[in-house]
Amino acid sequence: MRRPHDILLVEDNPADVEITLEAFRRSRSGTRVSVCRDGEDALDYLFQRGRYIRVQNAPRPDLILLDLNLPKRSGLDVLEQVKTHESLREIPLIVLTTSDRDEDIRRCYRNGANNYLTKPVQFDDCVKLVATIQQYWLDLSKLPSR
Amino acid sequence: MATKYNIRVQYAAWVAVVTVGTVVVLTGLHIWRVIDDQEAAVRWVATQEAKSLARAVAPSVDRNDINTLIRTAGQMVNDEEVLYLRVLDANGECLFRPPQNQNPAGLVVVTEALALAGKRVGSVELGMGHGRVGQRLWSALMWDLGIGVVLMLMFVSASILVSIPVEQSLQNLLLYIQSVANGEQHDEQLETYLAETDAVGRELKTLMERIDEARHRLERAQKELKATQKEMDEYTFVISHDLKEPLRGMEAFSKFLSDGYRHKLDEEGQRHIDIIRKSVLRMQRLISDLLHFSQLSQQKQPMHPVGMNTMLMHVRVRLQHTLDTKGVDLRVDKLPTIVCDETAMTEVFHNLITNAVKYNDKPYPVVEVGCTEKPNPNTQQPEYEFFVRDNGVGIKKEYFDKIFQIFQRLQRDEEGTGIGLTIVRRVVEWHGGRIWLESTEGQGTTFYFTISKREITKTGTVLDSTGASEKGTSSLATPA
Repeated sequence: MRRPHDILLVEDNPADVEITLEAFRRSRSGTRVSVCRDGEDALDYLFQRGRYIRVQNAPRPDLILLDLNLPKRSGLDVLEQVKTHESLREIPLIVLTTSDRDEDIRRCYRNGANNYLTKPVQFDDCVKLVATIQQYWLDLSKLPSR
Repeated sequence: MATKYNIRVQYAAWVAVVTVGTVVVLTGLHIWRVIDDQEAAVRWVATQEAKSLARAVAPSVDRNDINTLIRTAGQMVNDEEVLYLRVLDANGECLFRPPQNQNPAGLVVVTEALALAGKRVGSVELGMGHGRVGQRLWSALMWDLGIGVVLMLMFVSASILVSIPVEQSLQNLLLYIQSVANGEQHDEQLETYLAETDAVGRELKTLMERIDEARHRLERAQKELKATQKEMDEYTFVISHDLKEPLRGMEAFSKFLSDGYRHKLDEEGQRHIDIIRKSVLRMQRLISDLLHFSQLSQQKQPMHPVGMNTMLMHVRVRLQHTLDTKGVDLRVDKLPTIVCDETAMTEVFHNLITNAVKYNDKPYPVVEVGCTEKPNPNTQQPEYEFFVRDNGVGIKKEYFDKIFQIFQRLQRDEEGTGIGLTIVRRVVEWHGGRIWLESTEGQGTTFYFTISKREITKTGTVLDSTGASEKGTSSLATPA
């Protein structure tokens, strides 16, 4: 059996965090989700600094789910940092946000986002979306080995 | 009103009339004077001749020497105009009268006494004709007319000379006004040959400056309005998204509660959870409609000619399921091609037809869509008046205005949010049209809206069967 995937969820809204975690639980994939509540924390995690100085606290994720509207450092900031980093840029990054503004969508793709998704309002749709992400990005797609 | 001729012609004509009039009056006066003078002149000449004759013949009359008298008189009087002559003695006896004497009536006759050393010896009667008067009159007339013609020519040419700068100044003024009307040459001063037109130009400049200022103010206000509008739209957009955030939590957790703990709640508790779920769903619909509305306003597409029949076909396809379910007869007349934002206009018909179907209680619902071409009541420009007519429940007159307001509904129903007609009105208005309705309760409603008829030239690509085409050659878009 394959090792379970690691995902980094960058999301500040506790309800949304819970919803996403619940949706992953329901996908029964065994995917481990680490959560960062703001942009600063996410960058600390990815660069393994601050409270994530020890590697076992911050396993390198297979996939990043990134909200745009974040406290401290914005999602776009995080996106830019990740996608300009020598090795972190290899990690597929999915923007998962409420905004469906054309301006935001363009800016994210221009900065190297691999996908742009909007959060569904209905929980059932969230479950479907997470299942789809799991299936496409983690089960079907070939990802770089760690 | 003699405004059809230019100033030069009018001016010259007036000068000519005045000059000719003056010359005629002066010539008349002159002739009258000439006639009067001639009478006196003939009398004077006659008197002179009579006097010299009297001096010459006095001695021979005194001596009663008739032969000398006749010879002397014959020598003296050689003037052709002397047509009558008589020499009388002291007793009034006629001593001499030439045989060619004419009738003295009609002649100027003078009588001169013959005196010799203070003694009256007889008298001479001499009559002269008016022969020269005609000649003099003719020459006087010729002179007067000559002077008149010369004067007239002088005046007319002078008037033309004078009118040239006037006309040129007016021409400059005209050009200036035209440039002002076109909004050019804002700082250039008017240059003319006349102080009057300069003054007009100065007034014009002041006026123009005021207009300019007003226009700037208007532009500023428009810009502000636009900015506010944009801000409002953005605000709606942001709010809709921010409102969605907590709603997602409410939706998910009420669902967790409903799914996982329903069996632990009594009937009342279950009912309350269901109400929460329903409210959340309703809130979701409201927010997504609000979002849709703000997006529609924000993302205006460029306008291009669209065949309305093709569009209505697409709307029919989109609504097919609803139409089939309710057994609606959707009748679409022949419609024109209009210049519009296709997405937005599709929304207009979609919403109006959806409403017509939704609020219909008849066993055989009928929805008609048609169009007539009419002149705009205010501008008289041709425009299209579309209508969407149904045989549905109808709307009370007091709600005619209210139904266009956002989130206004006349019936409580599960799906409707009351934003459809607000979108319809907004779209029609940004296309420069008007929207209104006629309705009879229980019989049906007709929505009317106008779209201005834009000139669509035949030079572009033909877009549909009506032969209409995009103006010019750029950005051709075929209806999808």
